Amino acid sequence: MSDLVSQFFVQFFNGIIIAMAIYLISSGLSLVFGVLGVLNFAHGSFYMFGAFLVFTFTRHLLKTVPGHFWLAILIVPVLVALLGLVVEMGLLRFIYKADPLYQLLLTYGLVLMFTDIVKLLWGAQNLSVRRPPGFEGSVTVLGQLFPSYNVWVLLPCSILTMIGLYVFMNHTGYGRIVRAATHDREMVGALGINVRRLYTIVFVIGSWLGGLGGVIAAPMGAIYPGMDFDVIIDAFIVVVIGGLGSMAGTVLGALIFGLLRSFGILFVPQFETLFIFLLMAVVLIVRPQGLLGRRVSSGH
Amino acid sequence: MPTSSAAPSVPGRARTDGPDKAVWAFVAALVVFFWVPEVVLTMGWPEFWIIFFTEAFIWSLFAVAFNLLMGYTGLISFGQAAYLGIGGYTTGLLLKKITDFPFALGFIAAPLVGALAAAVIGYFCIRLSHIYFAMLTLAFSQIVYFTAFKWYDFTGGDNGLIGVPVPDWVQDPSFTNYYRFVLVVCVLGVFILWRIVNSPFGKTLTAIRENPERAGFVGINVKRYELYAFMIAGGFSGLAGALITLHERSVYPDLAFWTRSTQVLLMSILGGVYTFSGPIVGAFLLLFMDADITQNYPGIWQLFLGAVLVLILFGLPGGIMGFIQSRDVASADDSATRMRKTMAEFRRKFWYFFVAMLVFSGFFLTLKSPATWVTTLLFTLGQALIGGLLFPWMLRQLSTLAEGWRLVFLLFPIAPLAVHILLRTPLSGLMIVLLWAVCIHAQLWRPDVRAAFRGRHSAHLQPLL
Amino acid sequence: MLLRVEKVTKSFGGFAALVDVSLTVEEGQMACIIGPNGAGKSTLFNVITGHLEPTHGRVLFHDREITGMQPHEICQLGVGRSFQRTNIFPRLSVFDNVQVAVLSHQKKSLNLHTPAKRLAQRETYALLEQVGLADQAQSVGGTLAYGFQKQLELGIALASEPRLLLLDEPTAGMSPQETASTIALIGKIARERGLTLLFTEHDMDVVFSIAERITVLHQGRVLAQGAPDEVRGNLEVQRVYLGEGA
Repeated sequence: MSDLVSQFFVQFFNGIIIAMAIYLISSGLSLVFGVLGVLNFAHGSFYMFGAFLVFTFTRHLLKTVPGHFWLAILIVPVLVALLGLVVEMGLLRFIYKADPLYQLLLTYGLVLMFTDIVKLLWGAQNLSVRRPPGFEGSVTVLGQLFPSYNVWVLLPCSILTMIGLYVFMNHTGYGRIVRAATHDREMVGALGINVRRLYTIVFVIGSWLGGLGGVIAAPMGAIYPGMDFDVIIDAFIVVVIGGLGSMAGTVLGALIFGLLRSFGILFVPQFETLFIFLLMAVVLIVRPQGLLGRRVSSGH
Repeated sequence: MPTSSAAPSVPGRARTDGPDKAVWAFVAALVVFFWVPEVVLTMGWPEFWIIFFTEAFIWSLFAVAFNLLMGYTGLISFGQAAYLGIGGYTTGLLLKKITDFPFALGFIAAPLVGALAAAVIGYFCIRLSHIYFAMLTLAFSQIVYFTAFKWYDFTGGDNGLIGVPVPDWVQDPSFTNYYRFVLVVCVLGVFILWRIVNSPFGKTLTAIRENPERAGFVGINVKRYELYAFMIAGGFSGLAGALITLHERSVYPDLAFWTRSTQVLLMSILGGVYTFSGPIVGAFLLLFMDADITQNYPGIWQLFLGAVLVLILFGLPGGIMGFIQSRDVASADDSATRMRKTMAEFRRKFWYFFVAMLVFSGFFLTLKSPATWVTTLLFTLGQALIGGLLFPWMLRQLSTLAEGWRLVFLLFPIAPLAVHILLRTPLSGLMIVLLWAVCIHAQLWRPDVRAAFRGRHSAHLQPLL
Repeated sequence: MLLRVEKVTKSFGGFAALVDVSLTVEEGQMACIIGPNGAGKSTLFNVITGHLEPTHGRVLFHDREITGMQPHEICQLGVGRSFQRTNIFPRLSVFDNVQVAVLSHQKKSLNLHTPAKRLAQRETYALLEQVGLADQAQSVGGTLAYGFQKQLELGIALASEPRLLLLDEPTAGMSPQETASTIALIGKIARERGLTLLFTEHDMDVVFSIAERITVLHQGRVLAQGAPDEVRGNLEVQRVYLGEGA
């Protein structure tokens, strides 16, 4: 009996870990959608760039520098944020007035380009990023072994990010503006805020988050040029379930995603991915704004 | 321009030559393409081309069906490939699992099941709008994909359903008979869609696209019509899926994978979503470029595709076939302001395509002969220099609205085209010059622009430019 | 009684846009609703045409309850409407704009095979003539000047051959000459077709020149209702809306 209970908690904890990983990735997507109204397909590419750049930094550039992984965590997301800046100022901003679906298509075009660029720069084979020294082993939690990296790096970073975003959006001046913008874009403009600059800043923050997600997630598995496609669909599911534009919703969506995946693998290993899409469909049908999102009007 | 053709100049007298003319176009296409295999085989060209055309026809059918939703009804589906899969598996399962199942029935079942599935899925999707609609169609198509993937006992999982029994004539060694079968089915299918699009139903769909609220208040039950459109698109997509299954004699889950949905979306955008033939042109072009690039430069296909997509979205939103006005310009500005905006737009797009052409041609030339990259770079810089000096002057001349300069610009693309043909830039690289030419023509060939240049209004436009 | 609105209340959350509004319109009448901005005129129209469901109350058309029916069903029963902000099909030609409505009225919209350009030619052109757009049949709707778009709006509304026509601020944004000609056109069409008209207006000259019955709305309530002279003489109305000594 207690075996079953501990099994349950183990899966629960595992689910939390998966949830935290996907939260880190999805937070940027949700933020950008909430403020700009753009569902950025290329967010997965920022994630991918983060992962590949940390590979280059740890394997080549900073190889001999002690603590190179931690340095990479500081540097790489900034580089990815710079890429985001270029994308926003060079392309995205010209298409804000267009149909949102055209914006989505534009970001999809970028995804296609970025995937091949990564292939050209890093090759098409799987690469791996080594875990930083001190976190290469395992840790026992509830009688089960978990990679110590997941427990001691991923979890704290995600939680820190969550707290950081919360503090930013609720207790800083600019953060409150951002939060207001997720509720009513036009009103914020009418209040005299430079909306263009706001959009750029938010997009850069979003890309930074995406890059950070990539850096943190990189040592957890193999990295490969198609990972942007794979992760963006997962991120879509999370933000749809949680509610597009709602930061709290992203946390909730990530938790549901992680737990479903964890328990799903345990009970119905064949169909767990199917269940996740079914859940996404159900949420969209029953409550299209997501669990914590704002009301969505029907019709075009 | 939307699909309405010219109305009679005298009220009350209806012109009847429209659709009859179109019938001849379809018949002509049927006749011309019928003999392609003969030509290919006689000329000794690779059999690949017969297969290429077969696939192009199937994708054209799929793309036109998709565009019924996107271009005509304004519903952008990210999961249309679900019906490819459903149609394909219907035919595959019926023919393989049930011994001696009649071929005709197995074939016809595909569009019917496709339409039925679309009715069920559409019922849910139609309730949503925009992004949420797109997301739900995506979710459903992934559900179809994963169902096929995981239901190993029934569908063979990711090993696929192989060895679907097909009649002998489908399997003939030179693919000719199957080619003809596909040709006939697709021409027929596209013709039916043509009739639908030009019927009152089709017009109603465009009204729904333009203004669903207003459509509701002329008595149209918008949701019902959207569902019907969804079902028609699903049915024809199922038909395309069956054709693919018969072609490959097998079905795999990835027939329904979401990247196939985006492929048909790209085809439609490339060719132009607001015209009927746009998706067909887009399908042929995309498949051609895919074959060309994957053969010569493996590994950059997606880069090229993504770049073309970005190019089209910025420079040629109407696609190759669509000479539409952007929503901005279709406003109630007076003609002078509209002309000024048009000219400004033209200048912006002209530079945009020039830069794109330099980048693409430089990129492709470097790929072709990496060793001479310095020469390529110098050549590109040289072009940039010449263009940078010449074009502003030419564009200023154009702003005077002199007819002569309009003609100069219309003929202009011949220059870069000749240069690139001489340099033997790969065909896909020439695409950009083609898009540039199309863009120029799209802007300068419009009736209002022509009228402005021919002096009817230029007098009062001059001070404003 | 063609149209009867009975004690309609519409609240959005805590905000009451309409409170206990009742009005009647007789067949063949030209009735007008006036009131300051935010009085609830458009909301009332939206309730009548089914775009909004009232929180309380009901709407009857031809003694038949239409509360809660879908807009397209109400339209099919014979209620037409033009909208305050021009609501046409922007990228369709003027001809197509009207033809779509005609085809819908003729119940031919589900026809999947006959080429549309063979159908409804005469009716569509007749309508275009009536609203003065016959010579611009091939122009793209969205490129028309504002005044012409309003005419097109009217043409689309008339295509459904309504018995009751609701016009939401038909002369908004127009110069005095345009206003006069628009009103003349509307009046002429209404008389020719025996239409019942219910419109909202800001321009008092217009209102008092053609309206036979006026309802005054203020903050979601009916302030006064009746023949023009009655309303003009009503002190409450004068105080709130027309200003002293109107």
